[in-house]
Amino acid sequence: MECAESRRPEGRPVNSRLAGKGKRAEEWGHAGRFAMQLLLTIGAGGGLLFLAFYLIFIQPLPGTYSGVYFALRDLTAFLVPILVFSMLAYVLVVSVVIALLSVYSFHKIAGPLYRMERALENFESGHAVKAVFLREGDQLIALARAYNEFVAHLRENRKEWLTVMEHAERLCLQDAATCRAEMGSALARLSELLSRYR
Amino acid sequence: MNPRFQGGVALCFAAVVFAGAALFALFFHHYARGELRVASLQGHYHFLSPYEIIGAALARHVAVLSAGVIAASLLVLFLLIRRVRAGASRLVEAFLISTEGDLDLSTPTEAPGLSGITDLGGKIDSARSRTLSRIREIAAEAEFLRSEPLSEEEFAKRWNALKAAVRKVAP
Repeated sequence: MECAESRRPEGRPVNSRLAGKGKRAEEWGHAGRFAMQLLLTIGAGGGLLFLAFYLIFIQPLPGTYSGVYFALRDLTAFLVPILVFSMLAYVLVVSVVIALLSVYSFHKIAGPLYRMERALENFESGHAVKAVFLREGDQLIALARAYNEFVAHLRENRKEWLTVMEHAERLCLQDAATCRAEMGSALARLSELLSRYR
Repeated sequence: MNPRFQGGVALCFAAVVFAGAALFALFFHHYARGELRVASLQGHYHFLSPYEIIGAALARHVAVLSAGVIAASLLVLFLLIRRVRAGASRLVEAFLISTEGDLDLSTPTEAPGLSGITDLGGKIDSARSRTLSRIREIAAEAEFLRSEPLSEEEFAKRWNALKAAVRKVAP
């Protein structure tokens, strides 16, 4: 599987401004597609609504004076239920179609959010932390990259803290007399390194 | 599938459609009721069907409804994208301040935006806060080992426990 969160080849310069523009264009292209789908759905909904009213109002009026009078008066009385029913049907149909389109179109944001949530829950639970890789075309790639860098940075620091402690242990093995002093200075160094965090 | 996020987005658009439909119903009912009443009293003999009386107004109202709902939906889409981008930028920033300069793990993310983004901000804060508390525990233990006169056996035991605690940071 090709991962969007790919590593940059060594020594290859990246024009971040162009890359940023490309990413932004992709984001707006994605939104533009969704906007077109919205336009078509709402337009079609309006067309169907007009057709439904046309079919209701095109019914011929009776030929007599009183027949026309009572037909129009009855239609006026029934206008509220006709409108309520038609509008509820319109809202239901258009909203359901837009909801399906939203689910489909926004999964490129919702998917990465879900994966980031799982990764953070895993991080918090103390289990082995894995890098987050997103699929091709997913949004929020910068967020996944920032998280991976955060974890990598913590690991680098942890490695440095362990190196300080293990170095003191090696010195301890060489000379037992200065062991405690070496460990004390290792602990002082460790405290200094840890104090950078706030 | 993220029901809170995608459901929230779908609800925003549904609210726009519902508001448009309600306004359409209100205005069209007001207009059509008046026109049909006038036609029933005065000019009914001119018309073969009610459509001839209110057809043009119906077309006009439906056109305005569609245009209004499209415009409002596009505005909602634009605002949603802006909020998602602003929220995501804030989340990225929270990770950046945790890895650069002061290594700040305590400033809250306070990401604006939709529920999915703010929830994630809360989880990021929680993860950063947990990491900071682990680091502080390690620092406190290191300080204790350095300052307290412990026996060799006790010191070795606590030293190994400290190493194990360090290994638990981003395992």
